[in-house]
Amino acid sequence: MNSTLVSSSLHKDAENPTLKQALFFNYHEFSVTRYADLGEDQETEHQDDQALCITHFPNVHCALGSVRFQETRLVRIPRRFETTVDVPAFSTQLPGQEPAALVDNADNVNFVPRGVYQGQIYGMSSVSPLSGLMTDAEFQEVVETVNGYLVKAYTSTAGWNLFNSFMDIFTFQLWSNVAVKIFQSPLVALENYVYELNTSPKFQERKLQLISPRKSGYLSVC
Amino acid sequence: MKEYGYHQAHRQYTNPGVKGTGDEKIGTNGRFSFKYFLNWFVTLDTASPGSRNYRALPKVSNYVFFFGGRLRTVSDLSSRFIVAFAVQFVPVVLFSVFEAGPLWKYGKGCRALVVLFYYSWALCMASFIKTATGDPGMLPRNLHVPSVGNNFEIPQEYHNIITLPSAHPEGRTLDVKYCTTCRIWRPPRASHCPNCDACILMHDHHCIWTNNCIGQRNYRYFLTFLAASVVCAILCIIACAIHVSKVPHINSAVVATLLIVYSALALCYPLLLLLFHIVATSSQQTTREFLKNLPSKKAIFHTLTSPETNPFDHASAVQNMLSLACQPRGVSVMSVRERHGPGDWRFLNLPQPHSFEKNLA
Repeated sequence: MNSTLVSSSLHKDAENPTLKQALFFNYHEFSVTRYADLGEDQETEHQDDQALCITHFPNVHCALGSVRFQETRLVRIPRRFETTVDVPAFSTQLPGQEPAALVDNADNVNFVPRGVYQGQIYGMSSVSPLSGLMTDAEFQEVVETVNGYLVKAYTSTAGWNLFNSFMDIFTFQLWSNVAVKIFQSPLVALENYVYELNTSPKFQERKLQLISPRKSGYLSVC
Repeated sequence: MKEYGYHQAHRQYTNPGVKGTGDEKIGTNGRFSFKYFLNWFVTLDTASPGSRNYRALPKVSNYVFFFGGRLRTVSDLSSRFIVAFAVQFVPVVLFSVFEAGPLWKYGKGCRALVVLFYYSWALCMASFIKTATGDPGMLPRNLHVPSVGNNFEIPQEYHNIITLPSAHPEGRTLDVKYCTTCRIWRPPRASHCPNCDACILMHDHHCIWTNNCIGQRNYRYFLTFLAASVVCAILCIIACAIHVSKVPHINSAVVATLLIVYSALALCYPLLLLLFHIVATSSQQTTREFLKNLPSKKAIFHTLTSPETNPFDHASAVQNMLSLACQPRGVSVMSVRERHGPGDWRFLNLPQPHSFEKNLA
Protein backbone atom coordinates (compact mmCIF):
# COMPACT_ATOMS: atom_id res chain seq x y z
CA MET A 1 0.00 0.00 0.00
CA ASN A 2 1.72 3.11 -1.15
CA SER A 3 -0.87 5.66 -0.35
CA THR A 4 -0.07 8.53 1.91
CA LEU A 5 -2.95 10.00 3.70
CA VAL A 6 -3.11 13.75 3.61
CA SER A 7 -5.13 14.77 6.57
CA SER A 8 -6.61 18.07 5.71
CA SER A 9 -6.46 21.29 7.61
CA LEU A 10 -9.10 20.78 10.27
CA HIS A 11 -7.23 17.89 11.70
CA LYS A 12 -4.11 20.00 11.56
CA ASP A 13 -5.80 22.85 13.38
CA ALA A 14 -4.90 21.46 16.75
CA GLU A 15 -1.25 21.26 15.80
CA ASN A 16 -1.08 24.60 14.09
CA PRO A 17 -2.62 27.34 16.22
CA THR A 18 -1.90 30.05 13.63
CA LEU A 19 -4.36 28.48 11.23
CA LYS A 20 -7.58 29.56 12.88
CA GLN A 21 -10.11 29.29 10.10
CA ALA A 22 -12.47 26.37 10.57
CA LEU A 23 -13.08 24.23 7.54
CA PHE A 24 -16.01 22.04 6.82
CA PHE A 25 -15.78 18.26 6.91
CA ASN A 26 -18.24 15.41 7.17
CA TYR A 27 -18.58 14.94 10.92
CA HIS A 28 -20.23 11.57 10.47
CA GLU A 29 -16.89 10.04 9.52
CA PHE A 30 -14.62 8.36 12.00
CA SER A 31 -11.49 6.29 11.69
CA VAL A 32 -10.56 2.85 12.92
CA THR A 33 -7.13 1.30 13.15
CA ARG A 34 -8.21 -2.20 14.08
CA TYR A 35 -9.50 -3.83 10.92
CA ALA A 36 -8.85 -6.73 8.59
CA ASP A 37 -6.84 -6.15 5.43
CA LEU A 38 -8.55 -7.07 2.19
CA GLY A 39 -8.49 -10.82 1.68
CA GLU A 40 -7.70 -11.59 5.32
CA ASP A 41 -10.02 -12.77 8.05
CA GLN A 42 -8.15 -11.66 11.14
CA GLU A 43 -8.53 -8.11 12.40
CA THR A 44 -5.17 -6.55 13.20
CA GLU A 45 -4.02 -3.26 14.67
CA HIS A 46 -2.67 -0.76 12.11
CA GLN A 47 -0.64 2.41 12.26
CA ASP A 48 -2.49 5.70 12.62
CA ASP A 49 -1.66 6.71 9.06
CA GLN A 50 -3.17 3.46 7.83
CA ALA A 51 -6.52 4.02 9.56
CA LEU A 52 -9.72 3.24 7.71
CA CYS A 53 -12.17 6.10 7.22
CA ILE A 54 -15.70 4.96 7.95
CA THR A 55 -17.86 6.62 5.32
CA HIS A 56 -20.95 4.44 5.22
CA PHE A 57 -23.15 3.32 8.07
CA PRO A 58 -25.77 0.72 8.98
CA ASN A 59 -29.16 1.43 7.47
CA VAL A 60 -31.24 2.58 10.43
CA HIS A 61 -34.31 3.02 8.25
CA CYS A 62 -35.08 -0.69 8.10
CA ALA A 63 -35.37 -3.29 10.84
CA LEU A 64 -32.18 -4.54 12.45
CA GLY A 65 -31.27 -7.91 10.99
CA SER A 66 -33.69 -7.72 8.05
CA VAL A 67 -32.57 -8.64 4.54
CA ARG A 68 -32.75 -5.02 3.50
CA PHE A 69 -30.59 -4.08 6.48
CA GLN A 70 -27.95 -6.56 5.33
CA GLU A 71 -28.03 -5.36 1.73
CA THR A 72 -28.07 -1.59 2.13
CA ARG A 73 -25.79 1.04 3.63
CA LEU A 74 -26.20 4.73 4.36
CA VAL A 75 -23.89 7.47 3.18
CA ARG A 76 -24.74 10.46 5.34
CA ILE A 77 -24.67 13.89 3.78
CA PRO A 78 -24.29 16.34 6.64
CA ARG A 79 -25.84 19.72 7.29
CA ARG A 80 -23.74 22.70 6.24
CA PHE A 81 -23.89 26.23 7.55
CA GLU A 82 -21.73 28.35 5.24
CA THR A 83 -24.61 29.66 3.13
CA THR A 84 -27.22 30.05 5.84
CA VAL A 85 -27.56 29.33 9.54
CA ASP A 86 -31.31 29.87 9.82
CA VAL A 87 -32.41 27.33 7.23
CA PRO A 88 -31.34 23.66 7.15
CA ALA A 89 -29.01 23.13 4.20
CA PHE A 90 -27.15 20.01 3.18
CA SER A 91 -23.67 19.69 1.78
CA THR A 92 -23.73 19.87 -2.01
CA GLN A 93 -20.35 18.17 -2.31
CA LEU A 94 -19.94 14.42 -2.52
CA PRO A 95 -18.21 12.97 0.55
CA GLY A 96 -14.50 13.32 -0.01
CA GLN A 97 -14.77 16.66 -1.85
CA GLU A 98 -15.33 18.84 1.21
CA PRO A 99 -12.69 21.43 2.16
CA ALA A 100 -11.36 19.40 5.10
CA ALA A 101 -12.01 15.90 3.85
CA LEU A 102 -9.38 13.22 4.24
CA VAL A 103 -7.85 12.75 0.82
CA ASP A 104 -5.79 10.00 -0.62
CA ASN A 105 -2.89 11.26 -2.74
CA ALA A 106 -2.98 8.31 -5.07
CA ASP A 107 -6.60 8.70 -6.05
CA ASN A 108 -8.77 11.38 -4.59
CA VAL A 109 -11.88 10.97 -6.72
CA ASN A 110 -12.81 7.32 -6.52
CA PHE A 111 -13.56 5.02 -3.65
CA VAL A 112 -10.55 2.76 -3.10
CA PRO A 113 -11.23 -0.26 -0.86
CA ARG A 114 -8.49 -0.81 1.72
CA GLY A 115 -9.83 -2.99 4.47
CA VAL A 116 -12.76 -4.74 6.11
CA TYR A 117 -14.26 -3.49 9.37
CA GLN A 118 -17.24 -5.26 10.93
CA GLY A 119 -17.98 -7.04 7.68
CA GLN A 120 -17.99 -3.90 5.53
CA ILE A 121 -15.39 -2.62 3.09
CA TYR A 122 -13.95 0.85 3.60
CA GLY A 123 -11.25 3.02 2.11
CA MET A 124 -8.75 5.29 3.79
CA SER A 125 -10.05 8.58 2.45
CA SER A 126 -13.34 10.41 2.96
CA VAL A 127 -14.51 9.31 -0.48
CA SER A 128 -17.53 7.04 -0.06
CA PRO A 129 -18.80 4.34 -2.42
CA LEU A 130 -21.48 6.85 -3.41
CA SER A 131 -18.89 8.54 -5.63
CA GLY A 132 -18.96 5.50 -7.88
CA LEU A 133 -22.72 5.75 -8.29
CA MET A 134 -23.26 9.44 -8.88
CA THR A 135 -21.33 12.17 -10.60
CA ASP A 136 -20.56 15.44 -8.85
CA ALA A 137 -23.00 17.32 -11.05
CA GLU A 138 -25.84 14.85 -10.47
CA PHE A 139 -25.31 14.91 -6.74
CA GLN A 140 -25.11 18.68 -6.62
CA GLU A 141 -28.33 19.00 -8.60
CA VAL A 142 -30.23 16.68 -6.24
CA VAL A 143 -29.01 18.34 -3.03
CA GLU A 144 -29.53 21.85 -4.40
CA THR A 145 -33.14 20.96 -5.24
CA VAL A 146 -33.61 19.63 -1.69
CA ASN A 147 -32.03 22.78 -0.25
CA GLY A 148 -34.29 24.92 -2.44
CA TYR A 149 -37.38 23.40 -0.87
CA LEU A 150 -35.93 23.91 2.62
CA VAL A 151 -35.25 27.60 1.94
CA LYS A 152 -38.87 28.04 0.88
CA ALA A 153 -40.11 26.26 4.00
CA TYR A 154 -37.87 27.82 6.64
CA THR A 155 -37.52 31.48 5.63
CA SER A 156 -39.02 33.37 8.55
CA THR A 157 -39.66 36.57 6.60
CA ALA A 158 -41.70 34.80 3.90
CA GLY A 159 -45.11 36.41 3.36
CA TRP A 160 -47.09 33.24 4.00
CA ASN A 161 -45.31 32.68 7.29
CA LEU A 162 -46.09 36.17 8.61
CA PHE A 163 -49.66 35.89 7.28
CA ASN A 164 -50.10 32.58 9.13
CA SER A 165 -48.80 34.15 12.36
CA PHE A 166 -51.38 36.94 12.14
CA MET A 167 -54.19 34.58 11.23
CA ASP A 168 -53.27 32.37 14.20
CA ILE A 169 -53.69 35.29 16.58
CA PHE A 170 -57.14 36.13 15.20
CA THR A 171 -58.38 32.56 15.18
CA PHE A 172 -57.12 31.44 18.60
CA GLN A 173 -54.30 29.40 17.05
CA LEU A 174 -56.73 27.33 15.02
CA TRP A 175 -55.67 28.73 11.64
CA SER A 176 -52.48 26.69 11.48
CA ASN A 177 -54.52 23.49 11.81
CA VAL A 178 -56.67 24.58 8.87
CA ALA A 179 -53.78 25.98 6.81
CA VAL A 180 -51.96 22.62 6.75
CA LYS A 181 -54.99 21.10 5.07
CA ILE A 182 -55.51 23.89 2.53
CA PHE A 183 -51.99 24.84 1.46
CA GLN A 184 -49.22 22.43 0.58
CA SER A 185 -46.12 23.05 2.63
CA PRO A 186 -42.87 23.13 0.65
CA LEU A 187 -41.73 20.33 2.98
CA VAL A 188 -44.55 18.10 1.73
CA ALA A 189 -43.57 19.03 -1.83
CA LEU A 190 -40.03 18.01 -0.92
CA GLU A 191 -41.27 14.60 0.25
CA ASN A 192 -43.02 14.19 -3.10
CA TYR A 193 -39.82 15.13 -4.92
CA VAL A 194 -37.86 12.55 -2.92
CA TYR A 195 -40.48 9.91 -3.74
CA GLU A 196 -40.34 10.75 -7.46
CA LEU A 197 -36.57 10.68 -7.42
CA ASN A 198 -36.46 7.29 -5.75
CA THR A 199 -38.88 5.80 -8.26
CA SER A 200 -37.07 7.35 -11.24
CA PRO A 201 -35.24 4.88 -13.51
CA LYS A 202 -31.97 6.75 -12.86
CA PHE A 203 -32.08 5.83 -9.17
CA GLN A 204 -33.75 2.45 -9.60
CA GLU A 205 -31.08 1.19 -12.00
CA ARG A 206 -28.26 2.13 -9.64
CA LYS A 207 -30.18 0.87 -6.60
CA LEU A 208 -29.82 4.29 -5.04
CA GLN A 209 -32.25 5.82 -2.62
CA LEU A 210 -32.51 9.22 -1.06
CA ILE A 211 -33.83 8.96 2.49
CA SER A 212 -36.66 11.37 3.12
CA PRO A 213 -35.23 14.42 4.93
CA ARG A 214 -38.34 14.55 7.09
CA LYS A 215 -37.69 11.02 8.32
CA SER A 216 -34.13 11.94 9.18
CA GLY A 217 -35.19 15.08 11.01
CA TYR A 218 -33.60 17.37 8.40
CA LEU A 219 -30.28 16.34 9.91
CA SER A 220 -28.78 14.34 7.07
CA VAL A 221 -29.76 12.89 3.74
CA CYS A 222 -28.35 9.87 2.09
CA MET B 1 -20.82 -11.36 6.03
CA LYS B 2 -21.18 -11.53 9.76
CA GLU B 3 -24.28 -10.44 11.55
CA TYR B 4 -23.22 -7.84 14.04
CA GLY B 5 -25.04 -6.65 17.07
CA TYR B 6 -28.46 -7.95 16.17
CA HIS B 7 -28.71 -10.06 19.29
CA GLN B 8 -27.03 -7.42 21.40
CA ALA B 9 -29.73 -4.77 21.25
CA HIS B 10 -31.24 -5.16 24.63
CA ARG B 11 -34.92 -4.46 25.06
CA GLN B 12 -35.62 -5.56 21.52
CA TYR B 13 -38.67 -3.78 20.30
CA THR B 14 -41.32 -5.83 18.59
CA ASN B 15 -44.37 -4.31 17.10
CA PRO B 16 -47.61 -5.96 18.10
CA GLY B 17 -49.55 -3.73 15.70
CA VAL B 18 -48.73 -6.43 13.20
CA LYS B 19 -51.28 -9.14 13.74
CA GLY B 20 -50.34 -12.24 15.63
CA THR B 21 -47.26 -10.92 17.44
CA GLY B 22 -46.92 -9.44 20.90
CA ASP B 23 -48.88 -9.84 24.10
CA GLU B 24 -51.97 -7.86 23.37
CA LYS B 25 -53.83 -8.89 20.26
CA ILE B 26 -55.45 -5.99 18.54
CA GLY B 27 -57.51 -8.05 16.17
CA THR B 28 -60.67 -6.91 14.46
CA ASN B 29 -62.71 -7.88 17.51
CA GLY B 30 -60.31 -6.63 20.15
CA ARG B 31 -59.70 -3.32 18.44
CA PHE B 32 -62.32 -1.51 20.48
CA SER B 33 -61.61 -3.34 23.69
CA PHE B 34 -61.60 -1.33 26.89
CA LYS B 35 -57.85 -1.68 27.34
CA TYR B 36 -57.23 -0.46 23.81
CA PHE B 37 -59.48 2.53 24.44
CA LEU B 38 -57.74 3.24 27.75
CA ASN B 39 -54.37 3.19 26.03
CA TRP B 40 -55.74 5.48 23.36
CA PHE B 41 -57.08 7.86 25.99
CA VAL B 42 -53.87 7.94 28.03
CA THR B 43 -50.71 6.42 26.57
CA LEU B 44 -48.14 5.76 29.27
CA ASP B 45 -44.91 3.82 28.89
CA THR B 46 -46.80 0.78 30.17
CA ALA B 47 -49.04 0.79 27.10
CA SER B 48 -48.47 -2.06 24.72
CA PRO B 49 -46.72 -0.68 21.64
CA GLY B 50 -48.92 -0.31 18.58
CA SER B 51 -48.21 0.55 15.01
CA ARG B 52 -48.78 4.25 15.53
CA ASN B 53 -45.84 6.26 16.80
CA TYR B 54 -47.55 7.62 19.91
CA ARG B 55 -47.87 4.08 21.25
CA ALA B 56 -44.12 3.50 21.12
CA LEU B 57 -42.84 6.98 22.00
CA PRO B 58 -43.47 6.87 25.79
CA LYS B 59 -40.99 3.98 25.96
CA VAL B 60 -38.11 6.06 24.59
CA SER B 61 -39.03 9.45 26.04
CA ASN B 62 -40.80 10.87 29.08
CA TYR B 63 -43.87 11.87 27.13
CA VAL B 64 -47.39 10.84 28.02
CA PHE B 65 -49.98 11.10 25.27
CA PHE B 66 -53.74 11.65 25.37
CA PHE B 67 -56.48 11.05 22.81
CA GLY B 68 -54.41 8.93 20.48
CA GLY B 69 -51.32 11.11 20.64
CA ARG B 70 -53.16 14.35 19.88
CA LEU B 71 -52.21 15.95 23.19
CA ARG B 72 -49.05 15.41 25.18
CA THR B 73 -47.42 16.23 28.45
CA VAL B 74 -44.31 15.09 30.25
CA SER B 75 -44.69 12.50 32.99
CA ASP B 76 -44.10 14.66 36.01
CA LEU B 77 -45.87 14.15 39.30
CA SER B 78 -45.81 17.80 40.32
CA SER B 79 -49.07 19.56 39.60
CA ARG B 80 -47.66 22.85 38.36
CA PHE B 81 -49.53 22.54 35.09
CA ILE B 82 -52.85 22.37 36.97
CA VAL B 83 -51.82 25.38 39.08
CA ALA B 84 -50.94 27.38 35.95
CA PHE B 85 -54.24 26.37 34.40
CA ALA B 86 -56.22 27.33 37.52
CA VAL B 87 -54.45 30.69 37.80
CA GLN B 88 -55.86 31.57 34.38
CA PHE B 89 -59.25 29.97 34.87
CA VAL B 90 -60.36 31.25 38.29
CA PRO B 91 -60.34 35.00 37.48
CA VAL B 92 -62.39 34.56 34.33
CA VAL B 93 -65.06 32.71 36.31
CA LEU B 94 -65.16 35.51 38.91
CA PHE B 95 -65.18 38.11 36.14
CA SER B 96 -68.06 36.41 34.32
CA VAL B 97 -70.17 36.04 37.45
CA PHE B 98 -69.60 39.39 39.14
CA GLU B 99 -68.13 41.86 36.63
CA ALA B 100 -69.33 41.20 33.08
CA GLY B 101 -73.02 41.97 33.89
CA PRO B 102 -72.55 45.39 35.55
CA LEU B 103 -69.87 46.45 33.03
CA TRP B 104 -72.13 45.59 30.10
CA LYS B 105 -74.67 48.13 31.40
CA TYR B 106 -72.13 50.96 31.54
CA GLY B 107 -72.25 51.61 27.79
CA LYS B 108 -70.46 50.83 24.55
CA GLY B 109 -66.93 51.56 25.73
CA CYS B 110 -67.21 49.07 28.58
CA ARG B 111 -68.84 46.49 26.33
CA ALA B 112 -65.85 46.71 24.00
CA LEU B 113 -63.63 46.24 27.02
CA VAL B 114 -65.52 43.09 28.05
CA VAL B 115 -65.29 41.67 24.54
CA LEU B 116 -61.57 42.45 24.35
CA PHE B 117 -61.01 40.86 27.74
CA TYR B 118 -62.71 37.62 26.69
CA TYR B 119 -60.83 37.65 23.37
CA SER B 120 -57.42 38.06 25.00
CA TRP B 121 -58.30 35.46 27.63
CA ALA B 122 -59.36 32.93 24.98
CA LEU B 123 -56.17 33.60 23.00
CA CYS B 124 -54.11 33.22 26.18
CA MET B 125 -55.80 29.91 27.02
CA ALA B 126 -55.58 28.56 23.46
CA SER B 127 -51.89 29.46 23.23
CA PHE B 128 -51.23 27.94 26.64
CA ILE B 129 -52.88 24.66 25.67
CA LYS B 130 -51.09 24.62 22.29
CA THR B 131 -47.73 25.29 23.96
CA ALA B 132 -48.26 22.72 26.66
CA THR B 133 -49.76 19.90 24.64
CA GLY B 134 -48.11 20.32 21.24
CA ASP B 135 -44.87 19.08 19.72
CA PRO B 136 -41.99 21.39 20.66
CA GLY B 137 -39.84 19.95 17.84
CA MET B 138 -38.81 16.55 19.10
CA LEU B 139 -36.08 14.85 17.10
CA PRO B 140 -36.19 11.12 16.35
CA ARG B 141 -33.66 8.83 18.01
CA ASN B 142 -30.93 6.59 16.61
CA LEU B 143 -30.73 8.29 13.23
CA HIS B 144 -26.96 8.46 13.34
CA VAL B 145 -25.94 5.13 14.81
CA PRO B 146 -22.32 4.82 13.69
CA SER B 147 -21.94 1.05 13.99
CA VAL B 148 -23.73 -1.98 15.33
CA GLY B 149 -20.59 -3.89 16.34
CA ASN B 150 -19.23 -4.00 19.91
CA ASN B 151 -22.62 -3.36 21.45
CA PHE B 152 -23.38 -0.31 19.30
CA GLU B 153 -20.10 1.30 20.18
CA ILE B 154 -19.70 5.04 19.74
CA PRO B 155 -16.29 6.01 18.33
CA GLN B 156 -14.06 8.48 20.13
CA GLU B 157 -14.56 11.10 17.38
CA TYR B 158 -18.26 11.30 18.24
CA HIS B 159 -17.47 12.65 21.71
CA ASN B 160 -15.78 15.74 20.28
CA ILE B 161 -17.49 19.07 19.83
CA ILE B 162 -17.14 19.88 16.15
CA THR B 163 -16.45 23.47 15.17
CA LEU B 164 -17.72 24.32 11.72
CA PRO B 165 -17.70 27.48 9.63
CA SER B 166 -20.93 29.49 9.50
CA ALA B 167 -22.48 31.99 7.12
CA HIS B 168 -21.68 34.88 9.45
CA PRO B 169 -19.80 37.61 7.52
CA GLU B 170 -17.18 37.92 10.28
CA GLY B 171 -16.27 34.25 9.97
CA ARG B 172 -17.75 33.16 13.31
CA THR B 173 -17.96 29.45 13.87
CA LEU B 174 -20.64 27.24 15.31
CA ASP B 175 -20.50 24.01 17.25
CA VAL B 176 -22.15 20.72 16.47
CA LYS B 177 -22.41 17.99 19.07
CA TYR B 178 -23.36 14.33 19.03
CA CYS B 179 -26.09 13.34 21.48
CA THR B 180 -25.00 10.01 22.91
CA THR B 181 -28.46 9.35 24.35
CA CYS B 182 -30.45 10.02 21.19
CA ARG B 183 -27.55 9.01 18.93
CA ILE B 184 -27.91 11.88 16.54
CA TRP B 185 -25.65 14.72 15.45
CA ARG B 186 -27.71 17.54 16.88
CA PRO B 187 -28.11 20.61 14.71
CA PRO B 188 -26.86 23.81 16.34
CA ARG B 189 -29.26 25.31 18.91
CA ALA B 190 -30.96 21.96 19.51
CA SER B 191 -30.38 20.30 22.84
CA HIS B 192 -31.33 17.26 24.86
CA CYS B 193 -33.97 17.96 27.47
CA PRO B 194 -33.49 15.69 30.50
CA ASN B 195 -37.11 16.21 31.61
CA CYS B 196 -38.55 15.11 28.28
CA ASP B 197 -35.65 12.74 27.54
CA ALA B 198 -35.56 13.88 23.95
CA CYS B 199 -33.60 16.25 21.74
CA ILE B 200 -35.60 19.37 20.91
CA LEU B 201 -35.06 21.56 17.84
CA MET B 202 -34.13 25.19 18.66
CA HIS B 203 -34.46 24.36 22.32
CA ASP B 204 -35.40 27.46 24.28
CA HIS B 205 -36.09 25.98 27.70
CA HIS B 206 -38.16 23.37 29.48
CA CYS B 207 -41.11 25.25 30.94
CA ILE B 208 -42.20 23.77 34.27
CA TRP B 209 -45.55 25.56 34.15
CA THR B 210 -46.60 24.21 30.79
CA ASN B 211 -44.76 20.98 31.61
CA ASN B 212 -43.35 20.87 28.10
CA CYS B 213 -40.29 22.09 26.27
CA ILE B 214 -40.34 25.35 24.37
CA GLY B 215 -38.71 24.78 21.01
CA GLN B 216 -38.96 25.47 17.31
CA ARG B 217 -42.51 24.21 16.91
CA ASN B 218 -44.20 25.96 19.85
CA TYR B 219 -42.10 29.06 20.51
CA ARG B 220 -44.56 31.33 18.70
CA TYR B 221 -47.44 29.92 20.75
CA PHE B 222 -45.46 30.47 23.90
CA LEU B 223 -44.78 34.12 23.02
CA THR B 224 -48.44 34.64 22.12
CA PHE B 225 -49.39 33.12 25.46
CA LEU B 226 -47.13 35.56 27.33
CA ALA B 227 -48.33 38.58 25.38
CA ALA B 228 -52.00 37.58 25.63
CA SER B 229 -51.80 36.96 29.36
CA VAL B 230 -50.22 40.38 29.92
CA VAL B 231 -52.92 42.09 27.82
CA CYS B 232 -55.63 40.05 29.55
CA ALA B 233 -54.42 41.04 33.04
CA ILE B 234 -54.18 44.73 32.08
CA LEU B 235 -57.70 44.69 30.59
CA CYS B 236 -58.99 42.98 33.72
CA ILE B 237 -57.47 45.71 35.89
CA ILE B 238 -58.97 48.49 33.72
CA ALA B 239 -62.42 46.87 33.59
CA CYS B 240 -62.54 46.27 37.34
CA ALA B 241 -61.21 49.77 38.04
CA ILE B 242 -64.09 51.22 36.02
CA HIS B 243 -66.52 49.13 38.07
CA VAL B 244 -64.96 50.30 41.34
CA SER B 245 -65.09 53.95 40.20
CA LYS B 246 -68.81 53.71 39.40
CA VAL B 247 -69.95 52.34 42.77
CA PRO B 248 -70.52 54.66 45.74
CA HIS B 249 -68.48 52.58 48.17
CA ILE B 250 -65.76 49.98 47.65
CA ASN B 251 -67.77 47.50 49.72
CA SER B 252 -70.17 47.18 46.81
CA ALA B 253 -67.38 45.99 44.50
CA VAL B 254 -65.41 43.51 46.58
CA VAL B 255 -64.82 41.03 43.77
CA ALA B 256 -63.67 43.84 41.46
CA THR B 257 -61.13 44.94 44.06
CA LEU B 258 -60.00 41.38 44.55
CA LEU B 259 -59.59 40.93 40.79
CA ILE B 260 -57.52 44.12 40.54
CA VAL B 261 -55.12 42.87 43.21
CA TYR B 262 -55.07 39.37 41.71
CA SER B 263 -54.43 40.62 38.15
CA ALA B 264 -51.72 43.00 39.28
CA LEU B 265 -49.92 40.12 40.97
CA ALA B 266 -50.54 37.70 38.11
CA LEU B 267 -49.30 40.29 35.62
CA CYS B 268 -45.75 40.40 37.00
CA TYR B 269 -44.47 36.99 35.99
CA PRO B 270 -45.61 36.86 32.35
CA LEU B 271 -44.66 40.53 31.89
CA LEU B 272 -41.11 39.94 33.11
CA LEU B 273 -40.82 36.84 30.95
CA LEU B 274 -42.18 38.70 27.92
CA LEU B 275 -39.70 41.54 28.42
CA PHE B 276 -36.91 39.02 28.76
CA HIS B 277 -37.93 37.26 25.54
CA ILE B 278 -38.13 40.57 23.68
CA VAL B 279 -34.56 41.36 24.74
CA ALA B 280 -33.33 37.80 24.15
CA THR B 281 -34.83 37.48 20.68
CA SER B 282 -33.63 40.93 19.63
CA SER B 283 -30.10 39.89 20.62
CA GLN B 284 -30.55 36.52 18.86
CA GLN B 285 -30.34 34.31 21.93
CA THR B 286 -32.51 31.52 23.18
CA THR B 287 -33.06 31.24 26.96
CA ARG B 288 -30.63 28.34 27.00
CA GLU B 289 -27.94 30.31 25.21
CA PHE B 290 -28.56 33.32 27.45
CA LEU B 291 -28.01 31.23 30.59
CA LYS B 292 -24.99 29.53 29.05
CA ASN B 293 -23.43 32.89 28.15
CA LEU B 294 -23.78 34.27 31.68
CA PRO B 295 -20.34 34.76 33.20
CA SER B 296 -21.80 34.45 36.71
CA LYS B 297 -25.22 34.03 38.25
CA LYS B 298 -25.32 37.65 39.35
CA ALA B 299 -24.46 39.21 36.00
CA ILE B 300 -27.91 38.92 34.49
CA PHE B 301 -27.63 42.12 32.45
CA HIS B 302 -24.31 41.09 31.05
CA THR B 303 -25.68 39.22 28.07
CA LEU B 304 -28.51 41.49 27.08
CA THR B 305 -26.48 42.21 23.97
CA SER B 306 -25.57 39.48 21.55
CA PRO B 307 -22.27 37.79 22.43
CA GLU B 308 -19.47 38.43 19.97
CA THR B 309 -19.22 34.79 19.06
CA ASN B 310 -22.90 34.34 18.19
CA PRO B 311 -22.95 33.04 14.60
CA PHE B 312 -26.72 33.52 14.28
CA ASP B 313 -26.66 37.29 14.88
CA HIS B 314 -28.22 39.32 12.05
CA ALA B 315 -26.82 42.62 13.38
CA SER B 316 -30.33 44.11 13.38
CA ALA B 317 -32.60 43.78 16.41
CA VAL B 318 -35.77 43.63 14.29
CA GLN B 319 -34.36 40.94 12.02
CA ASN B 320 -33.15 38.96 15.00
CA MET B 321 -36.56 39.17 16.62
CA LEU B 322 -38.36 38.18 13.41
CA SER B 323 -36.09 35.23 12.76
CA LEU B 324 -36.65 33.82 16.24
CA ALA B 325 -40.22 34.80 17.11
CA CYS B 326 -41.58 34.07 13.64
CA GLN B 327 -39.42 31.07 12.81
CA PRO B 328 -41.49 28.73 10.63
CA ARG B 329 -42.78 25.75 12.54
CA GLY B 330 -42.03 23.28 9.79
CA VAL B 331 -43.52 19.82 9.91
CA SER B 332 -43.14 17.48 12.84
CA VAL B 333 -40.16 15.20 12.33
CA MET B 334 -41.42 12.72 14.91
CA SER B 335 -45.08 12.57 13.98
CA VAL B 336 -47.21 10.95 16.67
CA ARG B 337 -50.04 9.80 14.44
CA GLU B 338 -47.87 8.21 11.74
CA ARG B 339 -47.50 4.45 11.53
CA HIS B 340 -44.20 2.62 11.74
CA GLY B 341 -43.08 -0.83 10.76
CA PRO B 342 -41.76 -3.50 13.11
CA GLY B 343 -38.25 -3.00 14.47
CA ASP B 344 -38.17 0.74 13.79
CA TRP B 345 -34.85 2.08 15.08
CA ARG B 346 -36.40 5.29 16.35
CA PHE B 347 -38.04 3.30 19.14
CA LEU B 348 -35.07 1.17 20.15
CA ASN B 349 -33.40 1.64 23.50
CA LEU B 350 -29.75 1.11 22.63
CA PRO B 351 -27.25 0.44 25.41
CA GLN B 352 -26.08 3.56 27.22
CA PRO B 353 -22.59 4.45 26.02
CA HIS B 354 -21.20 5.69 29.34
CA SER B 355 -21.40 2.28 30.90
CA PHE B 356 -17.96 0.80 31.41
CA GLU B 357 -19.38 -2.64 31.97
CA LYS B 358 -19.57 -3.77 28.41
CA ASN B 359 -21.19 -7.00 27.28
CA LEU B 360 -23.52 -7.05 30.26
CA ALA B 361 -26.55 -6.61 28.06
